Amino acid sequence: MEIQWNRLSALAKIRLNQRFRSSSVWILGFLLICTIILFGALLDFGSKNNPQKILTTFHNFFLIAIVMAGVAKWASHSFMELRSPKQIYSGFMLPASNLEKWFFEVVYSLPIWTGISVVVYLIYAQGINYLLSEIVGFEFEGYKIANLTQELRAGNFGFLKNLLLIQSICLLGSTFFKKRVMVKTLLISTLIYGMGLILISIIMESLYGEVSFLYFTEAIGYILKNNNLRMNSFPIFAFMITGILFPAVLYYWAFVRVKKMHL
Amino acid sequence: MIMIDNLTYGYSKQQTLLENITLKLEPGSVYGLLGKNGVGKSTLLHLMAGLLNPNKGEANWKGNNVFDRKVETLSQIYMVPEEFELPNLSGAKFLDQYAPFYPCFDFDNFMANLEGFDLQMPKNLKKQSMGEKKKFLISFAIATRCAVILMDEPTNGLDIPAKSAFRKMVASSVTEKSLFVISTHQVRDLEQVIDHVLILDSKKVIFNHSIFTIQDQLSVWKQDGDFKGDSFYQTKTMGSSFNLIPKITSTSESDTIDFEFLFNAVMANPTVINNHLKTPSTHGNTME
Repeated sequence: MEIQWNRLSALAKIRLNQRFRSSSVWILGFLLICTIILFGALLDFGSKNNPQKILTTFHNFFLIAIVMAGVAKWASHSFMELRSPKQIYSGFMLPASNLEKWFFEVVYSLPIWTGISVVVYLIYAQGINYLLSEIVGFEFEGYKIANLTQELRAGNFGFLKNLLLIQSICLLGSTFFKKRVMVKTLLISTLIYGMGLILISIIMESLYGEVSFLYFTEAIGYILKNNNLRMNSFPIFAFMITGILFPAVLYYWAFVRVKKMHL
Repeated sequence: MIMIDNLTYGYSKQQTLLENITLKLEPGSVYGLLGKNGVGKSTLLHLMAGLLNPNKGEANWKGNNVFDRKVETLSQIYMVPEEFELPNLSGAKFLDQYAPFYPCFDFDNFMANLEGFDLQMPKNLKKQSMGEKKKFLISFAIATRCAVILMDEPTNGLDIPAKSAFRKMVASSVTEKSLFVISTHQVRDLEQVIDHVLILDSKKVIFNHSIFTIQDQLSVWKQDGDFKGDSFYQTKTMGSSFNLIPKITSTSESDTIDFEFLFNAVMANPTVINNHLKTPSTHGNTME
């Protein structure tokens, strides 16, 4: 095993220093846009709707958005030094092993970034609530971490699954493209996904006549359930495939690419 | 020791830059890597540092393929490329962040190197001139005390006093365990430091001999007017001819061989010179 924790902390220092400014600018820009949208929505609909409801919806939506967009952005920025040889000393191209590079990018762009976003957003949310209560003289219910954990409660894997999927796709994309990595990666993966859906639909239709894709996915769950394959619910099966198996393949592919790339 | 075994590399699959290179680079030496522009000197250094993946063959350090980029290999190989960018950090922060990767890093030596270059600890590396960046990085590279230090055109951009300081630093840093490989076009800057010459041309290493062997078996004969005897290479300057000839005992011989002259001679006649250097020393011949 090549990973040594003291080296990883040294690598973390390099990467955090390298991305501190751009991450800060990105978060502040994102929060500014959030604020503009929120106040716009409140001014437009505030009199007709319940501001508390607008605020709650806003907070739920933007927290997920900042985490998702951040994960996609930083995963796309992985292995920057490998794409521009002159950056050899700006990151950790020279001292880090392939496994360290790959591992650190996976950790930075998901758990670390999610942690940073959640903390920053919770502070922001409290600030917004305080600001609004000062302006309209109405006591808003504070935004709580419980709102986030509700998203991740048992049985609802959607958020986590999408995070893993987006991260693994962007991580792999960053080993292929040099510029506009996120845009190109998401565009191509959407195209591939769309083509895949069309292909499956065609196959399904030729096999079973007019069967919708949704029926097909449910049918798999039914078949598995009735064959006692320990997949007693379709959501878990779907999570296994799209949330673990598929990202795992992409993570591995990205690692192989990193091993072969180098300058 | 770095062992390069049958290494082939090309930036495209159709066109190779280096072909079947086999080399053994011993510790305790300073290798000068010479060659024309574009022959693959920098590429070879990058391959030795494990930064490029060879198409065929491998480069090993202590039995580890450098391209596997194992931690124990990475902590013992440092490379100073010709062109690079330094991060937006102070010199002290750079040390704080990067020195921990090199277990033998010698802070006192680093400070002494900076002093040798007459350079203060930079407040912002990004805002330094190219020469200052290079001085800083060379100081860092030498202070890492890595077993293998690779330098690509290190004297490019250095001022005259810095070149002299660089020579002293390298000379004082070579130990029986360390190995320096320095690629350069500025051969005169490094003549006094290099103790082994490698010349790359036509995808191969066409010359690989120690300075001891070269000086033991070759000499430069200067003669006014035309030279009548056999020489491996001849060049004429201001009415005199300079000739690379087998070592002889005579007062007219030059003890040291100009690297530029040697490089041109090898490029013109590699086979004959190599064959001569492989044969036993023929001291005792005389020339009138």
